[in-house]
Amino acid sequence: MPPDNPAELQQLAQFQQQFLDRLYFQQPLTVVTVNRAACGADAQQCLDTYRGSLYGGLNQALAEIYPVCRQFVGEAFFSAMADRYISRYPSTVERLDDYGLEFAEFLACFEPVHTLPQLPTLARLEWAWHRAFHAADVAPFDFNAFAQACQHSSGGIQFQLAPELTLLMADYPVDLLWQWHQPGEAGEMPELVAVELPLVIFRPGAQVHIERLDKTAWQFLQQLQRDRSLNGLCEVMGDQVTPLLPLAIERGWVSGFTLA
Amino acid sequence: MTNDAISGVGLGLRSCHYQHILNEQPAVPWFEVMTDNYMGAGGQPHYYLQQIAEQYPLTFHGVGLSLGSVRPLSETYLDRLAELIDLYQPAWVSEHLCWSANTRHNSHDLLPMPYTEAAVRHMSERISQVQERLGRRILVENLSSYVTFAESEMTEWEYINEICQRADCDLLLDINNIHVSAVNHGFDAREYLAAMPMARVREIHLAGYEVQGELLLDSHSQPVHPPVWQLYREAVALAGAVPTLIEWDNDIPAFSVLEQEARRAQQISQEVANAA
Repeated sequence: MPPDNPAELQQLAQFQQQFLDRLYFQQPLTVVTVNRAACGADAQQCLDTYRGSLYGGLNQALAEIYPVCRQFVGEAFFSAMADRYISRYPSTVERLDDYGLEFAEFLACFEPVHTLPQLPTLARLEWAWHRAFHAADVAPFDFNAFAQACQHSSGGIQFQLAPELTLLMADYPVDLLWQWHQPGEAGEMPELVAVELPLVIFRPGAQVHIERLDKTAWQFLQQLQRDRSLNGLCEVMGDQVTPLLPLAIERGWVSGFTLA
Repeated sequence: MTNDAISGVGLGLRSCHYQHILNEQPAVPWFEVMTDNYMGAGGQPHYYLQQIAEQYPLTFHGVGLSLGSVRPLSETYLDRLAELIDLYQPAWVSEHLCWSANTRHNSHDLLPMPYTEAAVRHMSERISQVQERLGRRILVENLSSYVTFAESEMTEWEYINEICQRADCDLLLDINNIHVSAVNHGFDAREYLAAMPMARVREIHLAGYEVQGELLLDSHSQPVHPPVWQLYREAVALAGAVPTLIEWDNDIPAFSVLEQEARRAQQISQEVANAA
């Protein structure tokens, strides 16, 4: 098979650049001529069909990642907001699962939702939930191997946090808001008063967990995110390691260890 | 579950039907898995797919490879696809004759390109790269489209034939896509069908479209429409009893509706075989 001709590839690259710029940003498409469709649709209608499909697909992806934000603001408003996000943050990712990372940042600057100050943090919570949902499965913690490692080479122990574990310092009780929007939940909507609330989001088994942390557990997990070593943990947390490490393993925040 | 014998009419596996499939174990000959839904490392998608793979043969169908893009094929994507193939042992792997991403942005959609010699050469080369990387032939699917370009140098069916021949790949023939494009662009679906390299057709797709203004949209949100059933009958007469799949991706109905569509496809296939 003859290899690609560089000049032809350049033309093809230019076409693909312009075509996507037309769909995302309604920029002119000049390197090719789109025919009027035999069914009667003109060239712009044909291209707008692709634009609608692109925006519709990404809008749907955001709705699936941020279902509680969507319920909170209403479907129509969410859809309009998502369209604004898509034009501001066109996808640069390979996998659709990875699209939508900057949604919370976008909401924080999106003036029409400034009356809903909980929304950006709620979006951060949902993104963390989404990442944990697709995270790698973990084997049960190997207590026997850990006991042996502690006896013989404790200095080299490096802990593994649950894959895609997220620490989130919430500024509103978004965990309650999230729970209230789950199917089967009833009762009064939680009071959304500003409060500093440390949360951890992770998946120890089949279900994603959203848990509140006290101050020391938050510091413990922050330290493990910075430095996975047992030595580092002991230096920073001191005697608090004794109660916190078993708790972290029991809860599934710490999923395993390696020896350096 | 062994995957070396795919036949009859299968169904596209969708997450809303996981529980029904595992609880009821319906008599479906095989399921087609949307590969891109299982690119994640773990969690519920894999928990369910592993159980279903123990009971049913599978095929893989992808939308994320962007075969026609100029930017290099993603090694990360191909590595993960190879891992999933090792894990689930699908009977075959299919992708679309399209592009999705340029060097800056990704549409996550199935986009067309002008049917030119340069496009044929590029697409064939990329399919060959994928086949070499995966160590197996892949199936490529004909698109539905909403645009044609004045720069095209050949018909769509000439384009498909050239690519299949040069890349030596197999074909996934989507009958709904042929009908949608034929109505949108005013060509004869039968001429298209007659020109297909039937010896390479290993699978047929059936789905429903929607009408949007003057255009037909390949929405996968409806039952198969009568003209598509008719075209399917003609395709089976030409290709034989090729494994056929019912696809439904939006406004997904109860599982029984998909089974009903599958029974109709099976009946048509049988009628054509009896008449031969």
